[in-house]
Amino acid sequence: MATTNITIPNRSASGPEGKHAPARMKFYVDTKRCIECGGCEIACKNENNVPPGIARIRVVTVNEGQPGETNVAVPCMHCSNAPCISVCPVDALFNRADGIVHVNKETCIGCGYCLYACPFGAPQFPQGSPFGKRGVMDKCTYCAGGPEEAFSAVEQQLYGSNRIAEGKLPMCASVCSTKALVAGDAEEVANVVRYRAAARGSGNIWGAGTAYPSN
Amino acid sequence: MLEEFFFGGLSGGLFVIAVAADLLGIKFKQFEKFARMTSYLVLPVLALAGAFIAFHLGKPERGILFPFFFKNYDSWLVIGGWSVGLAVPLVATYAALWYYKINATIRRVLGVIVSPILGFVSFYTGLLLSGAMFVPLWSQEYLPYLFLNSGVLTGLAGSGLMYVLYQNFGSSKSEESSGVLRIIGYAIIFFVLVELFELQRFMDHLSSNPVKIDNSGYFVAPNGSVMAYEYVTQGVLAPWFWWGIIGLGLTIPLILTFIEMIFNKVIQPYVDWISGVKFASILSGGIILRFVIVWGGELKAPLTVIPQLNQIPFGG
Repeated sequence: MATTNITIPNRSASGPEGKHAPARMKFYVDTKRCIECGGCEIACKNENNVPPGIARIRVVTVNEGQPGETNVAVPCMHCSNAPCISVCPVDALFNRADGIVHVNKETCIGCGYCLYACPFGAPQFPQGSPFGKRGVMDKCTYCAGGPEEAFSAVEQQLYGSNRIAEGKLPMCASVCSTKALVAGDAEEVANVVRYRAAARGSGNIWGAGTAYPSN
Repeated sequence: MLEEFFFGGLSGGLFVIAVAADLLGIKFKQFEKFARMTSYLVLPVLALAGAFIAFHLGKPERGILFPFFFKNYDSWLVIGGWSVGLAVPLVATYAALWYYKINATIRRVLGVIVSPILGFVSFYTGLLLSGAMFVPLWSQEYLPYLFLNSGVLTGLAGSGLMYVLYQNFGSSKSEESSGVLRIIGYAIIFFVLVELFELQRFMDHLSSNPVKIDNSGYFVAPNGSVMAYEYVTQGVLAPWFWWGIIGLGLTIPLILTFIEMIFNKVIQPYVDWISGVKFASILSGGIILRFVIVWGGELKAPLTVIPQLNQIPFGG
């Protein structure tokens, strides 16, 4: 059974609680900067030895070949109140103190309920033998390994690298050439978003027309 | 996934029908054989549902040992898993009481007590789907009732089909069978009409553009339900919905039942065949209903939360 030994980074921004509060790790995907190079996908696979058939992050193209074509890198968004956690029958999914949603592969039964619950399609299942064909769930770990002891061989084998414990950011965000994918503490990410929005000025918000049709 | 939903719902319906027939058998003796045969059918169908669940799990051994692994009692899968786990020994006991003809009163009391659990197995398949809150088609207000009704309807068809086959191929035909089939016919008319009404209300609900509130406090976009409605009734699933569920599963059985009743004397030599076609038609419709609902879940509503609303405006 997994042993919990998690390294939680602290906030570096000057928030109300200063550096004593645990960070709330978040991704931000800037659709205006993504050039669909696929670097994040390759870097993730390479860093975490992701098995074939699994894409912990994938670049989705919306309105391909039409005006307004947009590329969105979609990893697990590590929701604060994650629907996958609420439906998981065996509590294999859980929020760490820093907001990262972990999966415990040693208790996951591979039911696939999280796959339907997740609005982003983050949970992935390898195709294997006919019996138990789904395998256990695999998803973006935010490069924070798993609930095993940090840097252990088991953690490396089941989940991949643990860059968060090393004090680094996820590999996908680190290699993003245009910085379309921003990762880090929510306060820092919010600062980046605010800065970019201010620099660009006002305009339509991408996706708002779909979410809120004018008629 | 649709196999376990179908067989789970069917097992619940079969048990409810078996107990109802058992109770009718107190006054009308012709129902005794029908009730006994139906009670024998429940356990294999329930086992089939369990086998399909295990077959679809990534780690079947952990699923089979669910009492040790299930922890999140807020998840419908855990509640449903326990209800199926509880149903198996009770259904087996009920069938054993029939087989050994122990005590009819004890059997009937057990049947009445266990019926809500098996009814819940049918009901729960809808609840399980509605736990995925970002799927607009999987409505908590409508799916459980739809699946419960469909479970009873397919239960009627399953038990009726087995009864017809047994009467024709398994034993000498008795005069009692036409009376049993007539009562099943009345019940089928009732449950088909209820299912049509439920489907109409469900589709009305989706097309009225309701906002579905999810359990994380976010809201699924208002047009998600309309998209689901169009996906099912006008999109790629439309032939399955109209021809499969409405046509094959509900309208044809309804017409055949009326034909049986109105032209009773004319069709008497073929009544078993017509009943057989009707029952097979209902069972096919039940499978197609699960198919449409499960694959309709492929459509997830656009979100009002990240990433849609946190994007950088155009022009930057």
